[in-house]
Amino acid sequence: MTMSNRYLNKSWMLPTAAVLMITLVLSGCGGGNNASSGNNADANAEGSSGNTANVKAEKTKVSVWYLWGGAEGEQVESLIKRFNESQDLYTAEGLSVPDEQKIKVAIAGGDGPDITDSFASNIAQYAEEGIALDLDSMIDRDAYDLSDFIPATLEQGKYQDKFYALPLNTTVRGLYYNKKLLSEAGYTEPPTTSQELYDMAAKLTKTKTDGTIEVLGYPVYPNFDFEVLTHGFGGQFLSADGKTAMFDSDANLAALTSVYNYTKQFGVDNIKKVQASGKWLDPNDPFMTGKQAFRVDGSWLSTFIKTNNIDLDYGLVPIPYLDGHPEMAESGENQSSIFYIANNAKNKEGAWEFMKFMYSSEELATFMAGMGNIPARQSSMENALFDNVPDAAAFIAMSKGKNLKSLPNITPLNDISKAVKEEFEALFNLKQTPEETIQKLQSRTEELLK
Amino acid sequence: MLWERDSLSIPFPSFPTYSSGVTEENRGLKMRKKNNMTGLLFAGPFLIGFLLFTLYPTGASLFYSFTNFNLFKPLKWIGLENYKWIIEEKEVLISIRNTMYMVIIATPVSLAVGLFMAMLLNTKVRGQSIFRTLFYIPSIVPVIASSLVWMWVLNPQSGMINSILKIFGVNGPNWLLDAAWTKPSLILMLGWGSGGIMIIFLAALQEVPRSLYEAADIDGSGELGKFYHVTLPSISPIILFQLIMSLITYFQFFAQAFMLSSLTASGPDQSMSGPENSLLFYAILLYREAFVDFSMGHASAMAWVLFLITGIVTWLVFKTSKKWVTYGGE
Repeated sequence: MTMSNRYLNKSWMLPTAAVLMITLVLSGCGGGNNASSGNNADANAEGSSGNTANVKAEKTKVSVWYLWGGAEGEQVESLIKRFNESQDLYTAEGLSVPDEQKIKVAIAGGDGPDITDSFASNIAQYAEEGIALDLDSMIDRDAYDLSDFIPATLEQGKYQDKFYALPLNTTVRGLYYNKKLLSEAGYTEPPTTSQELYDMAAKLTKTKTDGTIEVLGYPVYPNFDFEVLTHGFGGQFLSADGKTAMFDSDANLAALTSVYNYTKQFGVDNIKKVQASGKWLDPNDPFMTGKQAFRVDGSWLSTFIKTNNIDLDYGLVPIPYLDGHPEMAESGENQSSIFYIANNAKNKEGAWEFMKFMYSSEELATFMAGMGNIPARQSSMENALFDNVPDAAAFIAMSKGKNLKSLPNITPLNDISKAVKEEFEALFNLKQTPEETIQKLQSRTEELLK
Repeated sequence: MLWERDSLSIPFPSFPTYSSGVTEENRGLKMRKKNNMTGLLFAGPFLIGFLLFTLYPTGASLFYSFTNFNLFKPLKWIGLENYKWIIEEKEVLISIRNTMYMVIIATPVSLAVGLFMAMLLNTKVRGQSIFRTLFYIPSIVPVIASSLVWMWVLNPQSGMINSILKIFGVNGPNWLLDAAWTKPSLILMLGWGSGGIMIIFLAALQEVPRSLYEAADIDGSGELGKFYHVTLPSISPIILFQLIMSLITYFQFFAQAFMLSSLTASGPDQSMSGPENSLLFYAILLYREAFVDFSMGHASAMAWVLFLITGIVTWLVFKTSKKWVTYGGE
């Protein structure tokens, strides 16, 4: 018997395999430990916030985690610095954690931040699962004035009529266009209706002999954003109260039909190749290299172009409304970034203090202007700082659009998004018609809302 | 008492005793107890770690699998509901289908590639050790780094593979965006990184007695004959070992798929399912249930079902191994 055979006889292998399996398969279930330590941390938290009131001399720590990195992360850090300079009770410490899962898991384990940021679409889940703290008692106690916030953005922090977060910005996407490409094709004006957008985009698309796309017309990069496009046309997914599915509408159908027709005309594979070609907001981004005629994106795109000195002659207009329905102009979807306090925060009072500082009119203006975002407060918008933010005026105007909508914060939102992703992918891959897609989305969402 | 001799199976050296006096026996017993204590002290760190970080979480997850538990709220006993969810949920079915694809296709492919590379590296050529190092290097590159590099290599427009295909007039596929090509892309990545499998096969190949090849030569066997009748039977215990390890790995396939499905051009994708759910593997769904949706009950039940499936498949492989594994000398 050779060496290796001796070590590899069966009696050795079965237990080894079993032990490996147990340790590996179940390693994903370490959550149990986290849970118990989470409770400990919560208990500690109450102890430490109690101490705060008594021992005034010592500053207590507020941990602030944020999803941003790079230049945007530096904006948060300078905000934290200003907060610390203004404080003799608390000292905030920032940490860039660009992974939402990591933050949630850390909160679950009791080692998370006191306060952190996220997106409005997560609020229902965070409130339901007890991740985010109900802010109502603190808002009432301090008689915190919310009247300056844009109402549509405030709704984004609410779940079942209670505040779990406050909105940082108002994000409405616009239609960017490459002026040079448009004028080469003989267009002097950007499109105003969904049909004009489609016709111009189809004409502006340039293909090589093998069918691959050289210049992209329709705004399909970085991806086909059905949600943004359909809201721009004037459609919506759900009623404002979140109780009714609203997929079955002309605007939604028009958005799906344009995606379907464009894909049919230029080929799924060719479009996917463009989508995989470069990284979003990167020098390889086709809009930056002048190879994309129309682009649906937010104000950060303008900031990116400006800060990187990219030589690009572009224009910006609201997303066109549904053809033949001028009353649907000024439509769009507001998506806000939000800050929330963790339910098991060790320093809840400190986090609330930080929140109030950050959301004060002047600070919010400074913070958001630094990021190239439009703040959620009206008075912050009027701050002179926004004179230097590229395209701020255009985006502020869009954020005040009369037909602006937000997705309601309801718990089935994640499942609805999954359904939208699946059905939209099937349409994009030409596996089902726009009509079939609408029908399936409507019935699946109705089922989820039951 | 915990340290009693019979309750432990820690080996200790036996001391030869030349007289059978009572005091001598007592001394021997004391010595044994002392040895047991020493052994326990050495094994202690492992035992504590095993109890705390393996046995306890394992037991806890079994308990959680019968509860509705999200880390934040008090847990609620719900009996077999989580297991019922596994049977009924469409996404679980999709994830099992995707995982079986990897188990059934990636296992033989990575074993074949590993064995093929090992055989090439076992031939006597100049610079053999350099080649061995070169082929092994990919498996020491961290998964995250190699996945990012592969995302570039597989870029349909500027990636290396499609650029090479273009020279031959072939219009390469949309590797990572076309549902039909995402899993083959992963298998390609895994093949590149199968140095770990290769190195074990290489060691096994070197153990095959030369005399058997010489005997085969005398009997007039060709290269293929030698491979089938000498090499394969000789390394069959190693093949069994690698087969089981690969099966376990692919049942739990996660890291590369997680990288590809969560990193999209426009930022993180919370669904982590890839184009048309083609990268939604069982372990990915388990992770999503646990750490995105915080359904620890679902996740724990899924982990136990996976454990059982893996256990049954491993047992079946052992059963059939009697027919094809030969243990030299037994």
